[in-house]
Amino acid sequence: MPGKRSAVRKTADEYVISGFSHLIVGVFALLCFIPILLVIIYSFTPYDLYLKNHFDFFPSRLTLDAYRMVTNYRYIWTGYGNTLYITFFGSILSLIVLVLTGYPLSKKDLKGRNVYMTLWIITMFFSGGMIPNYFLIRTLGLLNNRWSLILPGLVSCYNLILMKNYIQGLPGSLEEAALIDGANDLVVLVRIVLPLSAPILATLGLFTAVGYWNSYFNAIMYMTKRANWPLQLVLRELLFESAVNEMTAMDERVSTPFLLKMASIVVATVPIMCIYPFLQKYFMTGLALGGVKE
Amino acid sequence: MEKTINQRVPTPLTKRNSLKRYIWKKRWLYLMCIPGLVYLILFHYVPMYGIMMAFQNFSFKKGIFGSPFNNFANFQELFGSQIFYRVLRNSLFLSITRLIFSFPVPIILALLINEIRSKVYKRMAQTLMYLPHFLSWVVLGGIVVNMLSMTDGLVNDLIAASGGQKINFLGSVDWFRTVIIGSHIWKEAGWGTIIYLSALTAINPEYYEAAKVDGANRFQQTLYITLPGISGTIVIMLILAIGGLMNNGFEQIFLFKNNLNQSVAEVFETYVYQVGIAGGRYSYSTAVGLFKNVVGAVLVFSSNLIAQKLGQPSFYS
Amino acid sequence: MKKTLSIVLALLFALSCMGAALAEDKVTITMIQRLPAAYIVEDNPVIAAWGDRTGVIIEVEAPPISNYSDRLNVVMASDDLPDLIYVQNLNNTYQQWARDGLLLDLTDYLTPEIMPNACKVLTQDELAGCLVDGRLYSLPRVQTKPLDCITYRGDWLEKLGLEVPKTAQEFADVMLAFAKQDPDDNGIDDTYGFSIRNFNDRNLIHAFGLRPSDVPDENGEYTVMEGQEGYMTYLTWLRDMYLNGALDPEWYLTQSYEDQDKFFAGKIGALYTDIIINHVTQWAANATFVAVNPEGTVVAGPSLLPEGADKVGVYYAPQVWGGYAINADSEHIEETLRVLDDGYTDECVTLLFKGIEGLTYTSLDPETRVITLTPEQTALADQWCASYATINYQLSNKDMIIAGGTSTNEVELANWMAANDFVSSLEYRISYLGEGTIPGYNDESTKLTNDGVYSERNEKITQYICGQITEEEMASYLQNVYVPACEPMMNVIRASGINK
Repeated sequence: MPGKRSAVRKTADEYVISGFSHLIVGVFALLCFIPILLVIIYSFTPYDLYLKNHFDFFPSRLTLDAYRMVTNYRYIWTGYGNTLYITFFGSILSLIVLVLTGYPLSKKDLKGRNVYMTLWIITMFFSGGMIPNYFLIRTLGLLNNRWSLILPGLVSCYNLILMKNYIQGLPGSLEEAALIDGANDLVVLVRIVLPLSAPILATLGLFTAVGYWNSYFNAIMYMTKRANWPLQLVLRELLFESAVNEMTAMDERVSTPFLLKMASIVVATVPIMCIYPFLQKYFMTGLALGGVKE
Repeated sequence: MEKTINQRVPTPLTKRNSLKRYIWKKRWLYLMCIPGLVYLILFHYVPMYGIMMAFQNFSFKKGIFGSPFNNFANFQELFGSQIFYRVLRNSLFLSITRLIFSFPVPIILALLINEIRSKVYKRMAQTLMYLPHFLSWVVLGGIVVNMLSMTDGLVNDLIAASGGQKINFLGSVDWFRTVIIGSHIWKEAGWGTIIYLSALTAINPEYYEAAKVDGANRFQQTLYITLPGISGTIVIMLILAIGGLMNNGFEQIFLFKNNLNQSVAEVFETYVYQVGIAGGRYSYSTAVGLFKNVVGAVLVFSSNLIAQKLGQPSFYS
Repeated sequence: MKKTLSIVLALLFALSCMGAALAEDKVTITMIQRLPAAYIVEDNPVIAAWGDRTGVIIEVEAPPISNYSDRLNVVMASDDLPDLIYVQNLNNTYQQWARDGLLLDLTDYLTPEIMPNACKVLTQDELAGCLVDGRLYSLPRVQTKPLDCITYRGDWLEKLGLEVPKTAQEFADVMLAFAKQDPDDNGIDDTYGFSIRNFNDRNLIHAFGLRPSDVPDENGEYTVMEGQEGYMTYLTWLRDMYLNGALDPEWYLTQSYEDQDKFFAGKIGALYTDIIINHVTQWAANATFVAVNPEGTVVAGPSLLPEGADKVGVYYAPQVWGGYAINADSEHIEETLRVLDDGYTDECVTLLFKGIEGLTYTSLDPETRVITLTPEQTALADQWCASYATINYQLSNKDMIIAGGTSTNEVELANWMAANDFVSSLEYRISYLGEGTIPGYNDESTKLTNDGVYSERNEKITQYICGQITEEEMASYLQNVYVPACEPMMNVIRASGINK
């Protein structure tokens, strides 16, 4: 069962710990798999079967109706395009600024650092609200521009603190050696700190990408044309139960929103779920430092 | 020579000179700060004037700079509201309980994952664990409600089948917090492991080799190497979590709140939603938001200070 | 060479200016409206046709339907407002906009000369909700609502040999039978009578002699509904149904759509809230309903009658779905008034709701109000028309635009007419004005929300129905806590003398 490290002798408690870990992690992972599995199954299940039994893992009939409706919707594809653009460029720019800001903030003795740090922390709690932000974006001429969805949330203080904290945890000896050799701070950052920071970059890159992928609220304010909406906003609209506010009116709930909801969740979340396995190898223990040591 | 100058004139001029020299020496570090600083000022501090709304009777025509100030009238209304203290108590009680029970879970999971040697198993488990994070509360909450229902819920069916008494998870004051915290762990604990797993990568493998040579068993290795290795991240995450104590998340609470459990379920988010719906009142909701954020900021800065005093990692370490 | 080029360029420039001037002959009216996701604003022939009718170019902004008010708030704060503004809620915020001078005072414009169509169609009652301090700042989007009903599973009634219930007692008996006598014949005790979503629904309360809080009794006295005689009897009636199992035990968990789902799923046999007679015809043909209940039929029943009465009076307030306001600083007030007024003609209502003959439908009979459309036309109609897009939501004679909701054939229409006749033979409408139209009412009501009075009331009522508190506790709470708390609000109503 245990892999390579088992060359070293094994004690009874090691078996116990290993078995215990496998069990707990496995059970929890399976529990976590249930909801997404249900969503996928629901998205193919005719609504009448769902109504009869909410936990039928093997429905007797399948339907593609909901997918047909989702993919036929005009703004889905523009929404995908916008979201990919925002997520891609937003994450890259965000990581660049994160690294550039996080590195000087990790230098404890840098003058003015604490003030700068405090300014960042304040942003976690205080913001101007919708109206001033709208005026800012309008002044910058960014209305109906995709950068209005990228720039306002570019760097979160939360990520910055994690970045800074991680850099501080790296062994300082390599940096010092390079500085003595006459390299400037930028060179040290790029040549020495960055390669060691792969795990945190992968982590924060994932956080940022997921954040951009799921964001929609700014688009309500800044994007007056539907073709400029990101995917999540388009889907929110699609899922809006059209009769909630006009219930008594003649427009009836025509579709089966539940099924549609499930299908659009699959369409909207599966792509972003897929980036995790690609980044996963960076979270594996010992990888970064192991590489540098040699 | 330099020495004598320093002695003769300890004036601002020299100080400025030495400051200049210091800045020149660290110029690369300061240059790096520029993009972040520009972003910070432009997108965070320039719009900050919007906070004035909390002290105003906001007029859409006159805007934020022209609206009349009513000083603390919005806050007086908030603190004078009959259910304010109940809402505050509910919010804090729920979030503190949530912190106590759900904060350690990702850490424990990360440590357990770290004990697994099979890469395939590890990867599979991790990937599955983080999936619920991507589902919104509306969807996940709907599934939870279906599962816990008294009439046709899976869980109660199981309880009944094993001879137990059906439990009213959703419609009782006693079970509300358990359901909230349990479903929160279900949704977010797996995702929460990511940050600890990446912190684990920074631990020098040599320590483990050395410990093994010293005859430390797996449990001791975890206790004396792994845990201290990620303690910095744990402390930082704890400080951040304490800063978030005023927040319970609207969607989840809204979904599980009903007429029977609302005496414990009414929190700031749902209260503001109700008031907002009824009144559409801008200034008032800004004031409620500001109150929450001031408390959050005080919590975060003081817990950071405590961490600093205890010699733990903090924002300023 | 250079010279010729510059001349040519100058000529071109002059020409293009002329072209622009020609195009600009028509004024462009901008508009913000709450439209469904499927609606497409760009190159929409219906919007273009509306512009042609009124001699302007209409440009519509369609923010997300679920966050319309978020976007509208920003628009209203932004100092570049569109000409025509759809206001979804005529609440405090709307009143504030009006008082701030952002919205045009329409009082003097609503004359037979300036707005002939709106003048003809809108009644004082319908306009009441749009008034702020006695002045008119928007025109309402009205639908004089068709009759409500309580819907029942016709096949269940038939199988158990029961009649459509007419009184509270009959209703309780039928609900118990639905819950206990296995109406779906599956041998499992898995059905219930009904589920509550709205305590004070007009389909139930009139059987207990209750009336809206802003309607005075015969002596001219106003009493909040929860304090009226008969309210406790009503609650106890619900509680008895909960305790004997007729009511879905988890009714208090029901979110907005779930009771309809429960009905479709064959879990409950009756529905009342927000159900109109149209649903009876539509649901019987609903694919999901048919798939779950192949034998299922749906019948309409009247609002519950008081014991011994052969007819019941049901209170209806005008149904106003928001209103249309005009930007006070608009440069095209005259044209905007014209566009708005046109929205109250039958032709425009039909255009915005159902589109253009030949394009989005094949035929629409003005007599029977039956529409026929091909599948292709239906798809186009979804893109270009919507009930949300209408200015007025009914014909000028207060009829619905399409009979029986969305009737596409004579059979549906006949079913609808039959159900309508049955229900209206047992009910009569009493029109009244909703309390929201009283100046100052919203402020008092908001205070009750802020202080948690309403949420505590809901908690107590729910606890009482579920048997968690005694009758004495409930009655004492209503009389000693809730009713006194509502006094300031009731005083506003009393001072207004509304509905006397």
